[in-house]
Amino acid sequence: MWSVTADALVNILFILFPLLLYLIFINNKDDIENGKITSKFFIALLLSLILTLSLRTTYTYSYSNDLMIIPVIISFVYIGVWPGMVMSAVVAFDALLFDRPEFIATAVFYGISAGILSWLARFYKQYSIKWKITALSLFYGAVGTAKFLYLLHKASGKNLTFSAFNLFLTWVTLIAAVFFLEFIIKQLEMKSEWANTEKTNIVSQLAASVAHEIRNPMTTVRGFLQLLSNSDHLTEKDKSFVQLSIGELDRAQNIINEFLALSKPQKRTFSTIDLTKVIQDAVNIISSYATLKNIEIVSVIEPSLTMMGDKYELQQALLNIMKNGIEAMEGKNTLEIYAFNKNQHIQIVVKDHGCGMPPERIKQLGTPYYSTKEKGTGLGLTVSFEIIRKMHGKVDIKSRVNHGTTFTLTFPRFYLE
Amino acid sequence: MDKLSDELLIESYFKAKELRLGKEFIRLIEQEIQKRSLTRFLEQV
Repeated sequence: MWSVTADALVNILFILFPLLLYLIFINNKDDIENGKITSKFFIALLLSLILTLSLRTTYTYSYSNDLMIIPVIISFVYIGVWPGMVMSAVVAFDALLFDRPEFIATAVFYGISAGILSWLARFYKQYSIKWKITALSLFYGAVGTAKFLYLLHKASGKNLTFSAFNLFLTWVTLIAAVFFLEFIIKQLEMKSEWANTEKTNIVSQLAASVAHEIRNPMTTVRGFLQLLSNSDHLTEKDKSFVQLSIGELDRAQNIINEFLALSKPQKRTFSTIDLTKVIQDAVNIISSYATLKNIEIVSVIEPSLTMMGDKYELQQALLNIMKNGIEAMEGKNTLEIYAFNKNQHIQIVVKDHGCGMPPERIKQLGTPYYSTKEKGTGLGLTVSFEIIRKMHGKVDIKSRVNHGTTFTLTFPRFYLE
Repeated sequence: MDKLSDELLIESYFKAKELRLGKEFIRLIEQEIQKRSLTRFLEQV
């Protein structure tokens, strides 16, 4: 009895240990998002799967040991459908090689599981931990019961209580693994957000002090230029030069002012915003500009949307994005604006059918001073993105050249400090 | 502004006020005037 328990524990170790190793070496949240660490994670899971499978083949309680499904599940919901499929295939292949009699059953179980998990994986990441645990428990409950019934039917003479215990053990391990992964992911998110804030703070403090320092000399230059242009000894041409210089100075001062607005320290005085009204007001404000440009605005805004933030700043950000959308279009066209609740978030979509952007340009958006316009400071979107980030929102931009661009803003509905 | 002579500084001050130039600019001139302890000349008007 003990040796079997010990083996079960070793098996669990095989499942959890590669996860542990991998999670210790992750340092950067961004690396989770892109392929680099994901593939390392996949290797870790594959390793864990192979170890588990190899353990199984040396024992006789073959399919009552079900721990191998855990790496498969984790692959599907934490990496993606294809990695999950690969894992399932590995299991089936292993059954083909080492467990021929049960190959069909294994293939069927894992095939169906793969199907369900592919479906689940699509929206898994958006939900809370509680939901994730519940969903996976239900899934495993279904699979486990099916397995148990299958064993019952086969009456293969093996100890059925023991198999039931194994199934339970597998479920516990699955839940433990998920908790563990979620915990680490949360830590990484917090760490990267904190690092970002620190960096922003330092840079903006430095920059703000520089901007302030520049103001005085510029005011002086402007003043004396004005005095100069008032002289009786200047030709009209000379006066026009002076006026031009004053104009450029004003432009420089505008840039500084906008920049200082950008680097203002974050005020944590958010209040509840009636988002529906804020967006509707923004649409009203921008509508005259739209009509001027022969653009029609189509908006569908869910009533009674609320979130935490700064009403004025959010409206500024929205107006900026809408203005960009309008300016991207020529001739008679439409700007679409949608706002709705989506699970625990609110989504605001601003869609234009204008000139669009290639991927390299999308990456540049929000970079300070990046602009394709001749006029303007190039800081509009930078400020807007900063405002959105302050309210814990995310911006997603999709664009096709000559077809248009879609900005999707996602804000949490509730944010607990 | 420390390159200006005292005379020119005062003259600029009055000219700026006459032309109603920005108050930021006028304030900068006033600060320089105070720094050089020339404020008594401002009471001339």
